[in-house]
This record gives sequence, structure tokens and C-alpha cells, in this order.
Amino acid sequence: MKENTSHKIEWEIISKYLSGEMSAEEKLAFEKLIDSNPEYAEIVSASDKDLGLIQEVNEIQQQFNVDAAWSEVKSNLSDFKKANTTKIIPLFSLQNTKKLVQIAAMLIIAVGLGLASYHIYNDKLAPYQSISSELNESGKSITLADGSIVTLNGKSELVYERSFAGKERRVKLTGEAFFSIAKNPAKPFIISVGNAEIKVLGTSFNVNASNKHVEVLVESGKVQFSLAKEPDNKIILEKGDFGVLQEDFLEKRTQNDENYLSWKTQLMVFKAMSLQDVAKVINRTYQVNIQFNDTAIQNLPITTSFNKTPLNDVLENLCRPHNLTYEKSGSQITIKKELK
Amino acid sequence: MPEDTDTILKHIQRGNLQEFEKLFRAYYPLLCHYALRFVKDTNQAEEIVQELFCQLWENRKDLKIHTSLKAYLYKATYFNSLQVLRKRGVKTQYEKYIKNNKPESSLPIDSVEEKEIYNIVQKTLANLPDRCSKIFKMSRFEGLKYQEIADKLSISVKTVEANMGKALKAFRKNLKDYVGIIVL
Repeated sequence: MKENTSHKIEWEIISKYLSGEMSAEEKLAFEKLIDSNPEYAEIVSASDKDLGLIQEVNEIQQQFNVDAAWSEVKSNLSDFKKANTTKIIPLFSLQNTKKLVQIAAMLIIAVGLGLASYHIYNDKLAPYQSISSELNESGKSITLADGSIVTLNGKSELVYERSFAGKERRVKLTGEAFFSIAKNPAKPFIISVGNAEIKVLGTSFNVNASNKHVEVLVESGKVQFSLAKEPDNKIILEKGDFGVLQEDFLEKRTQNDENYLSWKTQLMVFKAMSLQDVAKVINRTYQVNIQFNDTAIQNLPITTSFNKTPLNDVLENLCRPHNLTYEKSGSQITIKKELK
Repeated sequence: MPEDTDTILKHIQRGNLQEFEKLFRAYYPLLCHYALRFVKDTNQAEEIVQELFCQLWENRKDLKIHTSLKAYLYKATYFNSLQVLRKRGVKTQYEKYIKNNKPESSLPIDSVEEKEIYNIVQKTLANLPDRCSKIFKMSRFEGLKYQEIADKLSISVKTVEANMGKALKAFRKNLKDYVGIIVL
């Protein structure tokens, strides 16, 4: 039935009309025809709509490159897929930690040996040494045999080769540290941290490892961040890059926290930050634990900055303008609302 | 003509990358076009849709879709676009959209963002005889007059007219179930 009417429709004419190819007279005559035949009019209007859609399809096709987009998306997926299918020993499992503590305990050597005695006892001493910091002790730093400087945050530990005699410079980290690595392209510097491996030639960067989580922030140079068990599963981090290993998933992210390195720089900047968040930064920087006796004061907005300011002065400066007081007992600090 | 959402989703949930790619290729340009309506920035629109597909893959195992996969993709694009607008601080624009467009009402109906329409147009164009599709493209996409096409291809204007009619008829025939009223 449909076919019956369709062969009567003069598609060439409709097309000519919709393409603007008709002369004024032709157009007039055709529009008269449309007016007198609603069925025809509907077809013309539907075809007009079709042409609009076809035009749009063409534009969309030109505008968005599916091939390029797919390869972009796929490359992001394959990372995920790979990490996901990899069997990984959980980072900082109890077993690992125990082992590390054991090794560290065995290898702890009295600090303060003179350089001379260093050489004298060179052969008799174990090849590894370790340095660790207590909970409330940040900024402890050590210069390694190659001239690299490592600064430990609180509750952290570094096990390192005393002389870096081999082809690589290997250290093992627990916790958080800032590394400034002496350049030596012939001897890569490798940090084992949980199930991650960080390989560098000469650069400075921060490593923060906690519960199944390793973070690397690069300040200069290039860093290769990989799973220890699977060196091919890696990302290359450059100046300003922030790499995160969560469980077994490696990812490059952005780190916008100005205070991320405060624990090392002792420089803290707060821009309209809630007192609660300010406290978190101070906790990290000074290795303390701040609490509040009144939840209302936690949201006070703070805008100020501190540069290598002693903790007491920091607290004083925060409390005074808001009529707050603080109590300090060891590393425990309680900020209170002053009672009148 | 609802697509078999369950099957596609099941394939993807089992980690079938080929099915995922098919889905991506079928919807990517359309969702980008849709996102563009809101964010008015091509790169931003593409970013939104790429991110959406990455998330879809990452969360595929936990994904529960109550409507169709298509509805899900458009809704997610819609929400993510608004999210971008909000972050951008285009408050008035954002609020305007929220007020006037429930996600349901902003879903593309009878528009090229409808995947079927997009595919039919592509297929119809691909299935036209070579000369016919060439003439059609020159007229519609390159904006050439019939006479110019005839000159370029060394054919008569009559032939151009005939081919244009043929193409138009083919499109109407294939699109009649999706666009406008059925009159043929």
C-alpha cells in the first residue's frame, strides 16, 4: 500500500525544492501543490528534517574523531586492566612489616661513627644500615655514601646500603621521606617501598607510604614508579607530577595541596581553610595530634602562613584572634574555646 | 526498537573489550555532541565522555542499570556536564539547566543524538551507489549547486537531479520509522 503512493512521489522535484535549485516560478508552483496536498506536504517536511539530520551527522562525524578518542581511552584502560590482573602481595602486610623490622633491627648500627672508623670497619660491618625517626620527630636527615640526602618525616625508616658498591644504589623505605638524589646516570638509585619500586638517576622527590598506599611527588628530574614484582607496570613522573599506587593500581594524579611538603619545608600556607583542615596540616608538619573540645570552632576559616615557625608560636597565632586557647601535653594538643 | 542492553552490559561486565569498543564507537560522537550542548566546548565535551567510558569500564562489575544502557549513558553525560558547569562557576547557566531540564526531558528524542538515527544515516550514505553518494555529498556537505556538480563530474544536470532524488528517497525510506510521520 505504501509502495503504491511512494512511486507517485517525485523525489527529484522535492530534492530540487529543498536544495534551493528551483526558479522563482517553479517554486511558486510547487508550493501551491504542497498547499493543496497535505500528504505531499508532510513528506516534504519530513525530508527537510532528514536533510537537517544528515547534515548534523556529517558535522558530528567531522567534529569528533572516534579513532583518536578510542586509543586515548583504551590506553587509560590497559593500565588499569594490567594492574588489575596482576597478582600483588599486599603492601605493608603484617608479614612484610615484621620482616622489615627484623632486618632493620638487625642492621641498626650506632650512629656517630667517624668517617675514619667507617673505612677501618668497612669490611667487618654489615653492608646495610638504617635510620629511623620517632613519631614526633620530623626533619631528620641523612647524607648517603653517594652524596644523596634523605630527610625522614616522623615514624619513618630508611634501610640503605652503606657504600653503594654494586651497580645500583638501593634503599628501602617505610613511611615518608624526601629524597634529593645525587646525579649518577651509571648507577640508578632504587627505592623499594612496599610492593612499589621507584627508580631514578638524579632528582628530588617526596615518597609517602602508608596503609596500602604509596605516593610520590617529584620536585625535579624524572622518576620511574613501578610495581616491584612487575617492573613493566610503570609510570614515568616528571617535575611536578604526583604518582599514586593504591593497592595495585598505579596512577598519575595532580597534587594541588600547597602544604604537601610542609613537613620538610616547615612552610605552611592557609587560604580560607577550616581550622580542622589546618590542624591536619600542623599534625603532619609537627607530628602532633590536635583535637578540639568544641566542634563549632572546627570550621573557623583560617588565612595565614607560617615559615619555619616554632609550634607554640603557630598555635598561639591561630588561637588568639579567635579567642581560643590550647593545651599541650606531649604530642597531644587540645584547642579550646575560651570561657568568659 | 530497544537494544539488548542486558547482553551488552553482561559482555562488558565480563571484561569483553571488543564489546566495550563497539559501544564506545556507537555512542562517542553522539554523547560528545550532547555534552557540547551544555559545556559549549569541544575539548571539554570529549573529556567528559572519555572519562565517562573509563569510569564505566572501571566500575563495570558494580554497575547496576535499571533503565537502558543508552539512557544511562545520556544521563551520566548530562550530570557530568552539569558538574563541569558548576565547577566552572557558571552558576546562572547551571541553575537554568537544573530548573528547566529534568534529565528525562533533556534526553534526545527525535534528534540526531539518537543512536539509531545516527547509524541509519551513516549506513544509508554508505549503501548508496558511489556516484549517488558522491553527488549527494557535494550538494549537501560541500554546498555545490547542481550545475557545479554536473560540470565537475562531466554529467548532465538531469543526472544530478535524478541522483539527488534517489538519495533523498533512500534516506526517507530508512528514517521513516524514526523521524517524522509515516506517509510512504
